Amino acid sequence: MASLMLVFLKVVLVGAVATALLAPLLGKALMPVIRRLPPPRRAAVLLAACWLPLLGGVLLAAVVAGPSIASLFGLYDGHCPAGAGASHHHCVLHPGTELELPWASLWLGLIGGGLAMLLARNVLTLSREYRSYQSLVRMARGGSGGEGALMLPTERPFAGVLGLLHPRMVLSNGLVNLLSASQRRVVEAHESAHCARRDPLLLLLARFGALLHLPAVRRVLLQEFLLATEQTADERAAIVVGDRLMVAETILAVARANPYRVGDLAFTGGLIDERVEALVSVSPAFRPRGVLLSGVLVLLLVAVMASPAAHHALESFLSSFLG
Amino acid sequence: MSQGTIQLGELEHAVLEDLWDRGADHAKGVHGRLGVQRGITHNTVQSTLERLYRKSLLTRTKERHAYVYRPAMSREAFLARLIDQVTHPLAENLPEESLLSAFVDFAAERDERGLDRLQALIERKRRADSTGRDLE
Repeated sequence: MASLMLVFLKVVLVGAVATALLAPLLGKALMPVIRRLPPPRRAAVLLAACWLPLLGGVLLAAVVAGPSIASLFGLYDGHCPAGAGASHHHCVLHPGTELELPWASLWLGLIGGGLAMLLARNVLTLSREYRSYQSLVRMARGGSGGEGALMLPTERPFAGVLGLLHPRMVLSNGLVNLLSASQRRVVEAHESAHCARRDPLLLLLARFGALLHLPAVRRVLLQEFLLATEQTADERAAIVVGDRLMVAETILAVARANPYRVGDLAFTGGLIDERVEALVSVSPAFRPRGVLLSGVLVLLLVAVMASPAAHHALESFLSSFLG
Repeated sequence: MSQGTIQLGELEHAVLEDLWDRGADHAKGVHGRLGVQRGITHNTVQSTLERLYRKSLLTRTKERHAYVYRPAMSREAFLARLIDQVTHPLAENLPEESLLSAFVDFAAERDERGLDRLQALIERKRRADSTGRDLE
């Protein structure tokens, strides 16, 4: 059983590495389509994309192990050498016939070890971040603003959502004093949308899922995901206040209050350009045909991968390439 | 003053709040206000004060036979540091890896020209909306 699990784990890892290596190509082809999606849908697609390597690994393991398991229940014949079939290859259920990946142990062990270290580092950083958030929330308990917001008694501008399972909106007195009543409504509606969607938890899921991607891909994916969550909250705020330009103006008002503004750089940080430009422009055209086509292609790919021919070809590839 | 990460437990935070309100006190006084109602011993309060002192969040002077503790920074300064800590990317983390959903990235550097360009874009759109023309 332990060796069976090890084989599964190795196949998942091979699939994850292969998917991670293919992801830049896939991203180049699909990102223009994804960028045209409405923000909530784009966020969902990008979250799934963060987990794509793991999904690819699990899919590969399912393709390799599927027929063996199906033959165990009499759903598929002619695969397992312990049975009567002739066109067998490997069977993950019978000792001695399972897929052998001897050389894979070394480099997959290295990759697995590296990933485990990366995961441990992220968990450690996360726990430090979380304790900082808790400290800030404790400091904010003194008062409460509208929409259930916690208030920070400081002149430093701050507005954000803290907490994973029970996110809370946290505003500072400094920020509230700076804004007009309608601008404050924008900020509260924006942060309420983050709370309702549990965006900090989704950011956490994206961050951990994306660990399996190459660093450059991970950065792009997380940035696009962050932009999609911010634009989703912007759109929600625009609906609540009924004025898209008011939301854009509030973003600028808060950005101007940022103590880290610098003099003469030709860029604005923190996704502000994209958010303001999206609010000013007409809503991006949604092309369902392109998305539908991508969905059909993915389904077709899954169907081909699940076919016996593809399954045997994969086994042969894994055995000859890795063995 | 250490510029390390601030990490406070619930009791440490309560003790700090108490000293911000009070100004300065020794362990017995803090225990009288916090320890009794929480059912914790004088030693627990004493060790909490000691921890806060080691974290450079309190200063202390010896008066008679006991230390008198004072906050090393104001509540406002402490909050500013905490906000910096939360909004700035921690260690080598990238901003997009933060778990904070902030209204804007308060740690991002941005320039006046870029903000002015966006402001002009909004104003053009407002004018275009009021005159019924498309934004060029």
